[in-house]
Amino acid sequence: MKQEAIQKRVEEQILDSYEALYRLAFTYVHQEEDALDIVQESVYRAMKSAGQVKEERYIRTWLWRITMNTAIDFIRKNRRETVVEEIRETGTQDQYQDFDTVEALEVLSEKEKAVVVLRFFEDRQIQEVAEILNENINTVKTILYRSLRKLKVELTKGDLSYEG
Amino acid sequence: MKDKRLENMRRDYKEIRIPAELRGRVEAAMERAKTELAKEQIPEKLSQKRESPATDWEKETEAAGVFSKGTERREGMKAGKRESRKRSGFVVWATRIGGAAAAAMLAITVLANSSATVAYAMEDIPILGNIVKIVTFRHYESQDNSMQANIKVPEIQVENPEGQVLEETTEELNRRIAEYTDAIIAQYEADVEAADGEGHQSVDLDYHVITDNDKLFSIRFDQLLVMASGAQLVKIYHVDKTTGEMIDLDGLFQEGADYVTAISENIKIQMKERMEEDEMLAYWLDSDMPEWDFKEIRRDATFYVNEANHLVIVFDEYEVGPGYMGSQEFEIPTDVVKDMVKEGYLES
Repeated sequence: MKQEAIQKRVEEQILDSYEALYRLAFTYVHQEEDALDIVQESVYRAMKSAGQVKEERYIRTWLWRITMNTAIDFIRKNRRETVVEEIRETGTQDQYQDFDTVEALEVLSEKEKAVVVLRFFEDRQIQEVAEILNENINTVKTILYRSLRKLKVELTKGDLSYEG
Repeated sequence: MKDKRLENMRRDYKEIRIPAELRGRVEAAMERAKTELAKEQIPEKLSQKRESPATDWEKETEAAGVFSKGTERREGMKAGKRESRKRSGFVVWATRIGGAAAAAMLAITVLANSSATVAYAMEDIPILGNIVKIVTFRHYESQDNSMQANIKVPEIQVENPEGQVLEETTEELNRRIAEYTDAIIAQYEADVEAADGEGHQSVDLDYHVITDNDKLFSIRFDQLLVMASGAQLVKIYHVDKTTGEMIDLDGLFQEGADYVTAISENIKIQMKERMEEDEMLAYWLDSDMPEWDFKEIRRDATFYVNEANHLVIVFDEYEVGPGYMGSQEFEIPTDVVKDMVKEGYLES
């Protein structure tokens, strides 16, 4: 595929999915300004390196991945600065139990968060989630089960393929 | 059955408010990237002429933090200069409307880490990995009565995603290949001299790129040495495309992991299976010459990663069995090493 054509597709894909990318970023940082910075940075990185995308079918996966990495990256670099904010409510272990918002995802690791968001909130197929995380399908399934257990979500067997 | 709790979280997620300025920020990022890409097309001399006088980069960063929109435009005009520091992309985005002072602080903090920041992000994006390519090759050919050699030596270049040559790895890789091929050539020349026109020998060395995926680049050398009988020898070099460095077998595994035992035990099982299936095969295993028996692989055993992303261990002829069996390969099920392998190299 021609470079200009790829570039064009990357642009289209960005315009198509920037809101979803923002939500993912927000889930990580819980702050509008930070999430905006992350999306802006991710879009910039994606555009600058569009020339290195070999196949069109990777574009979407790749955008998700850049955003996820940029968000994680951002958190790590800013952890020291936000440490004060992170001391939220001190509570019992079950503090999230009656708290059915995206904040509840805070019990999850960075990777687990991405898996839950992509699979259950963004309705991505497990295969695609695996591609975004660069993991194999079984690993992603394991992460999903573990995340749901942590979130105290009880699904009956077979519900990993559930469409919300 | 949909879980109520998950449903609620999903609803909350879908209700995350999209700030009005998001679209504008996205478009600005796209525009900036496009402008920079266009500038990069201009030959260097031209773009250098367009540079404004050098200014202190940190001061500029502060400005970017304080005045978001105005700076945006000025930066655009100075895009030629940005090329030299395009890795610092994140800094520029530290634009906050409120809390100007805090933003400026943040910008400077991030600056110190920015190239690592970018490097880290790049690391996990496979299509952006380092590039390894064969740029040229040398051909050593010799024919001396009934002795002949045909040795191809590739010259390899390792580049980062920006197209810069990673000198260190490039040099090391070519040096190690040259050491190997020079030794073969020297041995051949010594043999020719010793044989004084009476010898019968043929040395062929050829190479193939056997893996070039998101993670690894591997080049394999097959040496076929024919004297009275023949010997088949295999040498494979690997470059980790994410780090741009050469790696050996232990580079695939976490530090301290006992992959040697895990893999060796699996190979022994496979040897037994193969011998049961084909009685012509005779690996050196539980033989009457225990000191020759295969016990375990070397820590730097020859290996490659096949198309299924499975590890394959390669033995030279004579290494694990009699010569007629040639060189031997064993595909190792990823399960065997799944708790030890570093992320991304192998798949199950």
